[in-house]
Order: sequence, then structure tokens, then C-alpha cells
Amino acid sequence: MGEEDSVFDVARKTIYWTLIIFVITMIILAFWFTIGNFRSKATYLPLITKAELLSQRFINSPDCFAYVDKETGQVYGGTIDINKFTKEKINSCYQEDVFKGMNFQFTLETIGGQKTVVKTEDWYTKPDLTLPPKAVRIITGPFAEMEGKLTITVQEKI
Amino acid sequence: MKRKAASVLLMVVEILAVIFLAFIALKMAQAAANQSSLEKINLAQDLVLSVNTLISFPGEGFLQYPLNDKYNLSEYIIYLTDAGVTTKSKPEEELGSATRRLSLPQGYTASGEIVHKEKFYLVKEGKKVYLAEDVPALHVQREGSSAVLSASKIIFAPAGETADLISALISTSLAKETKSSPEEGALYLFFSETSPEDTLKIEYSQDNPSSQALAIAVFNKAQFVKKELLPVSSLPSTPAAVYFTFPFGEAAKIAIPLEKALKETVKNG
Repeated sequence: MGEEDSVFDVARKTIYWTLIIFVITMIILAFWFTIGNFRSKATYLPLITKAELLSQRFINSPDCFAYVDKETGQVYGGTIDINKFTKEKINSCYQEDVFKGMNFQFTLETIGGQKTVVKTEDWYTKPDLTLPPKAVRIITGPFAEMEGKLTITVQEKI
Repeated sequence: MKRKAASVLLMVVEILAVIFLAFIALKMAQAAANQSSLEKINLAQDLVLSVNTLISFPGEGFLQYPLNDKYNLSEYIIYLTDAGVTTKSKPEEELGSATRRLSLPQGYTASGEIVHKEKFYLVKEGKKVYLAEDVPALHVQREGSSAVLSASKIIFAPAGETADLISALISTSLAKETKSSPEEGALYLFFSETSPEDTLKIEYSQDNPSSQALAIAVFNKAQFVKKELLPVSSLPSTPAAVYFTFPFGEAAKIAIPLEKALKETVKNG
């Protein structure tokens, strides 16, 4: 009788401790996730800020779309050299083989309503954000330019 | 007797388990409450934004980081590489370090290490972005002429606040629109401090106020608030300055209309 009691006791305690270990693990994990969530909120940076600052390079940097006067070397910020408005340029300006964090789609619209769209390699259909359109000067040749509008849509990479 | 011993043993194990659990929870809570760990993340994040801003700048320039003396970064170690920015408190620290990744344009390099310094400089020279402990002397090439930029001429100054980065963009736009070269010392714009009222103060000044009278337009939440002329000082050596305040955290929203308004204002004289 005494031996039977002892066997049941061992079995009961095993079940009890299994449950307790499971519950404790769950509590620690929940606590861990709560803290992680708090940390994310405390250091949150809006997507628009990141995207706006990152996208400035496209219209201001000579290594992206900005027009460069070949004779003087002067870079004209806020311009788009139409010859540079290509997928290859985006890929060199915003490299494909390294971390990006965001995908961009650029829609360049002339006053006449003609649209040209280029996008980064990993762009998929659904955008997360559209930045306020930027008024740009489109340079089509050495002395040829026109007013235009650049709309940048952004998606956070998944 | 055996049962009693087992029961005592069980109680000891239970107490130990409770102590262990309490210890783990306490450690986790302490780590979360530690301001330094959040600062490390914010610092890395802010530096990545600063690098992105510098890359957008077509010429050469540098950021003093932080501009405001009330921020002291001597607690931190900062590494800049092509892959990103890492901030730590101690050299051997791996677990508590914060890393934010970068995407540089092709041909650009990023490098540098700052160990326990109160302030430092983030410099862009050609396609090289690096961290420097001392004020860099940059050679600028502008419309055929070259000159050395001295420390007082142009400072883009993030001070741990995202909004500060906007200053770099605006000053770049202004310099381009007015065709004034940095070596003439015509224009620079920087944020000086975050005031106790939770607002951001912008100081806009000229080295030589008599050379150009410029105006600044103020927007709040993308709504036009006011437009004022930069005060002109009678003494050439006294810098003119005008102060505006923006609600903290709104700078990203106002940046675009503000930049546009500044350009238009400058164009219209």
C-alpha cells in the first residue's frame, strides 16, 4: 500500500512540475515580449521620416538622378536627369545586394501628364506610404528642361 | 520519515524556483528600464539618418554630433562601417550593443570608430563618409574654384533629434538657390537646442548680414504661420539671428513645405 502511494506521489509531482515549468516559461516569454514591445515603442521612428531622408539622395545626389553639368561639374539638386532615370541607376544608388529596409517606386510626371515609372527590384504590389509629391525640373538635354512632379511610394521590406 | 524529507526538499526547490524567477524578471526589468540601452538604439538610428542626409548632400560637408553641449556621448563607443552603425558602452559588449544598417550608393564607403568622446564629427568627403574626432578641414570645389571650409562656416548639426537633420537639407537647398558658396560664409542654418517647453528652436543666421536680406517662412503642422525678414545688423561683425520654435516631433511634417517656402522666399528676394 505504502509503495503504491509513493509511485502515485512521484507521478503526481512529475505532472505538477511539468506544468509549472511550462507556466514559468510562458510567463518569462510574455514578460520578454512585453519588454521588447516597450523598447520598440520607445525607439520608434516614423516611416515617413526614414523614407523622406533616404529618398533625398535620389533628387539631390549626382550619384542618383540629379543632373550634373559636365563642363563645370556643378550638381543641380532637385533635378532629374532623364537619362539617369533608370532601374540601373536606382540599383547603383540604392544597392540591391545589401540591406535596404525599404522599396521605392518613382513616378515621374511631366506637366503634359506623361508618366514614367521605375521601381526597385523587390517592389511588390502594395505600397505602405506615398511621400508628398516633389516639384522637380526634368533635364532632357543640355539646354532642354521642363517642370515635373516626382511621386515616391514606399514599402517597408518584408 | 522519507515523505517528510521529500516534502522539505520539494519546498526548498519551490523557493529556489521562485527566487530564480524573481531574479530573471528583475534583471529583465532592469535592462528594459536602463536608459542607456534605449539611447544606444536611438543614437545608432539617428546616425544612420545623418549618414543618409550627408549622402543626399551633393558637395562635401560635416555634422558636428551632437551640437548641443548638454548631450554628452562619452559613455558610448560608436562604429561606422559600410554595413551600418553600431553603438556600445564597452568594447567587449556584444549583447547590449545596438546596430542599425545602412544602404550606401555604389562606390561609397563608410568607416570610423569613436571611443568615449563627448562629441565627434561625421564627415563626407567625395564618396567617403567617416567619423572624425577633430574638426575636419574640407576642400570644396565650387564652380571651378576650390577653397578650404573652416569650422565656423558650415555646420549641420543633429543633436540627437531627428528634426535636426532637416537643417542640413534646408541649408543645402538655400546655398544652391542663392548661389552663395560656403566659403563666402553667406549662409548656414542650424538647430541650437530643444527648449524645456518641448519645442524645437531654429536659429538661422548670416555671417555677413549686409550681403543679403533673407526671409524665413514658418510652418506649423504644414500650415503657414508667418514669414519674417532676417534682421539686418548694423555692425558687420555681429551675426544676425532669428529664432522660431516648432512643436517637437513635427519637424518631419513641416520639412517639405518649409524647404519649399524658403526656396521661394529666396527666389523672390
